[in-house]
Amino acid sequence: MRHTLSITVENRCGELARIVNLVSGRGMNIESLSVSETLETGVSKATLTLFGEEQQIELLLKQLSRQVRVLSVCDMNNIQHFEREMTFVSVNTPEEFSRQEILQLAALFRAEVVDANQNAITLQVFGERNKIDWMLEQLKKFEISECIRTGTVAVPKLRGEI
Amino acid sequence: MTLTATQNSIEQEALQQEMTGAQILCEALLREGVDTIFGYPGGAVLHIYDELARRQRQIRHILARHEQGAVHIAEGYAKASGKTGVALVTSGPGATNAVTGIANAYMDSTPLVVISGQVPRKMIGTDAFQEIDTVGITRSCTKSSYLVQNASDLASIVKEAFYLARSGRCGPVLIDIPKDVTAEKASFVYPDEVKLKSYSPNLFADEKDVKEAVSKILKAERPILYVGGGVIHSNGADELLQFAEKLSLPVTPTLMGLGCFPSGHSLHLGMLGMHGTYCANMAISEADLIIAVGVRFDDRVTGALDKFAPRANIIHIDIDPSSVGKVVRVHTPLVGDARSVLRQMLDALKSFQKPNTELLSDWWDKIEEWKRFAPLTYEPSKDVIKPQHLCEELHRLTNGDAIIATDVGQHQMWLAQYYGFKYPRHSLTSGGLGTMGYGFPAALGAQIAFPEKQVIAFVGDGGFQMTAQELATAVQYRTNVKIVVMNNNFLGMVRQWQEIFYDNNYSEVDMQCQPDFVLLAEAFGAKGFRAKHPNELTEVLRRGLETQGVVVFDIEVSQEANVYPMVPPGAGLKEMVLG
Repeated sequence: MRHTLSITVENRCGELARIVNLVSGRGMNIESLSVSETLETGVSKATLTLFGEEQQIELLLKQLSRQVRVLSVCDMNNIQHFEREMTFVSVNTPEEFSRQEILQLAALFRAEVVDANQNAITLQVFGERNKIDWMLEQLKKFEISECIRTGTVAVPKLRGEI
Repeated sequence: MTLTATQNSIEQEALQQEMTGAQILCEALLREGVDTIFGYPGGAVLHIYDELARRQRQIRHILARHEQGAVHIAEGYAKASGKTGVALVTSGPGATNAVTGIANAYMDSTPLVVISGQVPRKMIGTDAFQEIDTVGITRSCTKSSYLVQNASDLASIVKEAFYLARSGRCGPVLIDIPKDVTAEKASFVYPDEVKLKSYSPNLFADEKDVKEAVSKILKAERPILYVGGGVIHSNGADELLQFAEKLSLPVTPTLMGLGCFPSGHSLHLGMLGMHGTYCANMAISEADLIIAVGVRFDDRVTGALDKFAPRANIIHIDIDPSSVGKVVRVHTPLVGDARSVLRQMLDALKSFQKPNTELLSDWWDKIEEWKRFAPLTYEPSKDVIKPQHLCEELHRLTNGDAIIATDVGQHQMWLAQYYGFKYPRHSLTSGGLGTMGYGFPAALGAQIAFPEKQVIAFVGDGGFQMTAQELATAVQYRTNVKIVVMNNNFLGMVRQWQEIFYDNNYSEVDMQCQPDFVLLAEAFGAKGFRAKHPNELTEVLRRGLETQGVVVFDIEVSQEANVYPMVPPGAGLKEMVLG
């Protein structure tokens, strides 16, 4: 099963490597990884998605939280949360009608055009992984020359009423 | 102003002057109370060795003959004394040779600070001579590691490294120092304390949980204390003894816990696990309550997990929250230092009615029955020395008081079964990593920590040859360490498995060429003794143990003896083969 782990760690040389080491040392492959500093200076947050059995993930969480510089570890699968990612995709448009079709698709997925020339168009799209997967699937009938995904970031759902 | 005050202020002033990285390192080590370090010089640590030569009176450096030896010696020193061991090695091969030692300390939670040299900052990443990414290589076997970027960071890094190595679940910490940093000047400011956002180990468990645990123990009909290395690391042996005696609880130690409870005590059931006693394995399997103290439910202890203590409620005391519930389901977790939590439990006991030890009489009847049914035993021989007999003789001749270090394998198990350790920090063994070649250097480290004590390396003929070069170290520093080589000309444990599980198909376990261990000892300037026959064993051991200086005993034992009882891999603890 896919798990989304959210890890808060001191922003210090080698700490990300320790986390990645722990995962890869167990023969697990990281599907996506996104890291940046939080509002607190010197503290980073990493969001990591990977596949694993429940028990494997539980053990990994324990080993991660044992790391001296790891402040907290959370398996987002256990709580209600939002997940998003951003993707750039460049599509070749040798003919005018394909450009029109791509722009229609973009509107459908609320993707934005960030760049274009005579032969190609670059879109940016935000959303849940499934939505992006679906859009890329639709674009496959054209020639995709570049596709870059940020990987998932996740935030817990707020509790209580508005 | 008095003379001392003047001196102090001069010292103070001197310290505020600029120092080189090498000077800062030495000064910091002194602040941490280090008086002995173990190492091997090389290009990247030349500045440090230059400084050490000037400070011989403050810091004693023990020159090993191999970096693996240096780290094992440091670990033996740390395990026996309870201090933090310090090893110093050069870059490249110095660091890679040290890795086995570091990994061993990591698996056995021994506090070590390992300092490695690195190529100058500007040359990092250029494949320079003797360059290797030491921090990268050791990442998965260190508690934390540092690549020092500036001399001005060095003092606080050393402070932090010592704090991390010896707090919480102890372990090795690596400091990698580029050569030019050791020459760079900076002012020496030593921090008073370490504060880390992400790290503050719990000493004490939650009071409510402690109460709950105690009330469970008082109600249990078949309780057992399963105790390990955590009791020794926390210096909690006295508290354990008090607690067990107050409630008359049976106690079974792990390999790492040997000596944390006196083996001759009536509450002691012997070691549990793969080569544990029948009684200990039966008792833990039948228990209704397991009080696990400073242990980690290692696979060599539990056997097949689905058959492990099926009816037991489990209380687990451990300093490392990630160890609790890692392998088995724990009903009452008590995260804290073993000694502190045992003290909390002793205190909590006072608020309950006096324990009714009558409640346990049926349980104890059963335990005594198991003890009688299959005590540890072996067939004595008049023709060959039995390894078990050798262990018993060692116990008799040393009164069970010696510090003994072992490698891994048959000799390790026989010693664990038959030596009968009485005190904590007297059994030094490679439990987690299972390192051949650990025992002798570890014993040497213990002997350096306690020059007056009887210290013995009890090793096999295979393992001894992996670090035998440290004989030179042992002789150079005029130690009294004794090395008992249990020589069966086989890699015994591998041979045993090949005999039992691979249908006698012996594959590469026969040591067809061996050195003459007596001559080997003499070549190093040590003394050698040999025993081949049971008749001469006692006299040879007695004479050798009384001899001053380093002594190697070549004891030829029966070649194909097996360690029993044995729980086959994949079987439950009750499915022991008794031999």
